[in-house]
Amino acid sequence: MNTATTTAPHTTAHHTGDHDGGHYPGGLLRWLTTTNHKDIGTMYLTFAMVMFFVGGIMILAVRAELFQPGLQLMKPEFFNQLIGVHALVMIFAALMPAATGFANWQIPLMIGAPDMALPRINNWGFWLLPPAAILLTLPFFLALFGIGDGALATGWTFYAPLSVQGGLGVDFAIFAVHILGVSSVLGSINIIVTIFNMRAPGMTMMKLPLFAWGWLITAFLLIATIPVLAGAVTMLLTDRHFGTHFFDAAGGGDPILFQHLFWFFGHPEVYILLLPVWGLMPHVLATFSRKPVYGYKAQVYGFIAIGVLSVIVWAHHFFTVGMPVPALIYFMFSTMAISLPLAVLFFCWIATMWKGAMSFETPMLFAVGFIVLFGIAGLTGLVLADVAADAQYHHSYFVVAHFHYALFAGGIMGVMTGVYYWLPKWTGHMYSETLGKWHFWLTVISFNLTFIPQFFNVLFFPQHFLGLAGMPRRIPDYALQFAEFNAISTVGSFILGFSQLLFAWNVWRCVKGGEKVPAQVWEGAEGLEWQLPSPPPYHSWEIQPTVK
Amino acid sequence: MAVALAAAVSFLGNSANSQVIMNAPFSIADLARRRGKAHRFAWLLGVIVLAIYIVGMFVKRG
Repeated sequence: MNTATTTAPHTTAHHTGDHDGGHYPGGLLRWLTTTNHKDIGTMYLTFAMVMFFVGGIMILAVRAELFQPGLQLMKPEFFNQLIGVHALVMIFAALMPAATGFANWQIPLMIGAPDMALPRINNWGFWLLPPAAILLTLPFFLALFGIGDGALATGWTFYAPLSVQGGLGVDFAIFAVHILGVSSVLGSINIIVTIFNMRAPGMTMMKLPLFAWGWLITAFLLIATIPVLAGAVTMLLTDRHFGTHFFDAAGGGDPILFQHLFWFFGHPEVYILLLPVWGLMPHVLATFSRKPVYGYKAQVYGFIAIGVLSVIVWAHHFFTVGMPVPALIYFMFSTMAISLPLAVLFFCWIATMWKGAMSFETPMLFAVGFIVLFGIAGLTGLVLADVAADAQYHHSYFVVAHFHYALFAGGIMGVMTGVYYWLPKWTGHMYSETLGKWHFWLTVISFNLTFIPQFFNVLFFPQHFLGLAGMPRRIPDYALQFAEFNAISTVGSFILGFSQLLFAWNVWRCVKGGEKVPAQVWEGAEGLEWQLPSPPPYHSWEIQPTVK
Repeated sequence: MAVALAAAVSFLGNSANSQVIMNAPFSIADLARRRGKAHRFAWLLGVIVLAIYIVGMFVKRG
């Protein structure tokens, strides 16, 4: 992170290049045609927020069904569809666009660039998302009119041969994934070339803000893995409609090959969702601890190590499929090796706070909550990485609990950290601290209800117990012995879901008005972006900053 | 010991304690040069993505 001292004030008087000094179409046309990084960032973030609630409503229906044993509200086929589409929506249409929205808003501001290097590609990257989201969810509505049998019911993993035999929803999801993949690749290429070519003079790679570093590794991971997923689902499509047998054992194909191809993408995808959050955390922790980032280089090397390891560990997602023992041992130890660079990151985050003059504004609360809860994801991940233990936990609610600690506490709470941290910079207004704190505590209490001296998690922690007791995932009905924990889990999920309305309300209020903030929103914040007024002018940097 | 500690601190520390000077507007020629480089790099990355996509179709499990 930069410790930047301004020696000349920012001015917007100069008009340069192909930027049309503040002249842009108004109304809807502005948003359809914009190539401005801040406009596109806003659209990504708005889209992510909408889809977060769409995916959330789906899973609340699932949790309502699971409140009691027996089938109450829906047929098992519809239950399966909700689970699969919930995951695809949350991953591809909520978390990834939110991180891309951050990148669009922040990377040019942080590296002193006037805009992204490829602004038109940037516009395309966003506008591919809404059609993809429509393709994902449309089969639900088509089924109401007797067209098809609903959305994909295979879970988000598309496992063959179920997906080869599935209905119309699988085709819609395959096309949606292709489009989402193209959008991600376009966004990634743009971010890579922007970071490499558009940095302010003097900003060497080892002066790059950690958020940009986290995104750089993410972008390379996307470039390496999205085409593999696209290839796998293209082969699935040809299996379904063009008589090939890539994954159909009856025709000499190999269904396990699909699992390898899918998880070659799927495991790095976890880090694709988390690396941008890991990149923003040091900024927030340093700001509210009023200390420099601890271990800048160690964190950079940690990001790179995690990025490299993430593409060589994929088979731990299906240990139970029947692999040779040497392969099991290799994937077990390589998976466990990820905990080393991750421990370095945890150490640096805690060391940044150590003996700092800490204050607990909403972003800092979310950051500290992230560290604690994401730590649980890391520890339960180690358990699942153990081949012998995984045989017990595989396909159980223990896995569901683990990856929600990673992707809700690690991903979504990280996104909320970033929103609260940067929202005053983006809007020029301060959000309501009171509402923010209510939002944090309701989120964390519904995620973690304090139970004697331990954290007892209302939503996901009981799922660990359910998993240990043997409750399988992706079933709409269950044995009586699981009833209590499921009831608690459902109550927690509804509190969690409704408490997010506070977040949406707080953001809306802040966008519409509120107390004005200066350029340096947070006393302890460092970096180029805090040199610009709040909100930044339409064309961010018109005077080129030079980092000495 | 002190030398080792100093080296460790240097390894861990933030190398970005820098001053920022803002006194020159962006030059159109410099921006055009950088965007040109970015375009060429983007095409290279696009070709790599396409190559991985096509090669992925021919993967067989041993």
